[in-house]
Amino acid sequence: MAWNEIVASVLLALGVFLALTGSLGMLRMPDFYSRLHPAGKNDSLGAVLVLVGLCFMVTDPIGQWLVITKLLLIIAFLIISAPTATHAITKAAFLEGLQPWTKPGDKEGVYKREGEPLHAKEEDHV
Amino acid sequence: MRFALSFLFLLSFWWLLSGQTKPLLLGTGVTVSALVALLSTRMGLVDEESHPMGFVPKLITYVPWLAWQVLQSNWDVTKRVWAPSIKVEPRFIRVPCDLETEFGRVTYANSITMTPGTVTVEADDSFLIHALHQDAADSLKTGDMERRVRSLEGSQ
Repeated sequence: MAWNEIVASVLLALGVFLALTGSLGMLRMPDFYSRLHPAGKNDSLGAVLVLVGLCFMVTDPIGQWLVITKLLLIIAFLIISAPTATHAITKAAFLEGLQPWTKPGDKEGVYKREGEPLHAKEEDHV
Repeated sequence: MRFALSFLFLLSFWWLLSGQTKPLLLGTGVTVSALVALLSTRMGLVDEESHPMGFVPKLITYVPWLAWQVLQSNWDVTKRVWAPSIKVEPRFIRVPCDLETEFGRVTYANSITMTPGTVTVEADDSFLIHALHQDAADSLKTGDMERRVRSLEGSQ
């Protein structure tokens, strides 16, 4: 195998692993807000790693740098849009009044909003 | 100045996406880029918000630091996800934010979302953060990241 294929394979494997971690985290985390952490972080870095891995797979001698630049542009847009989307979803849930899950007995973690009380929505947790 | 920058930006963007080399097509690209730059300048679309010029050179030091933070954050969340029993103590915290420019605030909010165990929920005068555990909340309260973002917007 050529060196670029080895680098690409490692990066792709890492990216896929991170995407899997993101999905598993979605299932295992206790509530909506916590679920967004693996979904927002691991998934976006996973996608970035896959794209960087693809950069090493481009072998077309003429258009090589054009393709790589396009991949890098996609990465740049992902890095800006992924946290923004995560923030938008979280804020929507917060404005809706979704009560975050806290560890049983963790008193200081409980968030009290000024004004009207949050209507508690029970979420099943681990 | 801003017209020239948008023209150059549009032209290079167009060329990167199309990769044309024929004189006719290149000429068309130059004409269209100039037209769009001219139109958007006259429409007042090209302003400080769309062209935060002062920031761009400073991003060179900020981005690698942020990338390192993102890697750490991923490692941290990955460990917590694969642990046999999930160790999370989610909580909301408020973090003050004195950044003045829109660009600085957006950069700060997005950086928070990308780094260890914290997601920005509300970005008003102070930021409301959902932290996955106490360590993440504490690391944010030191204000290290806010200082870095502030030095980004310094020259404005």
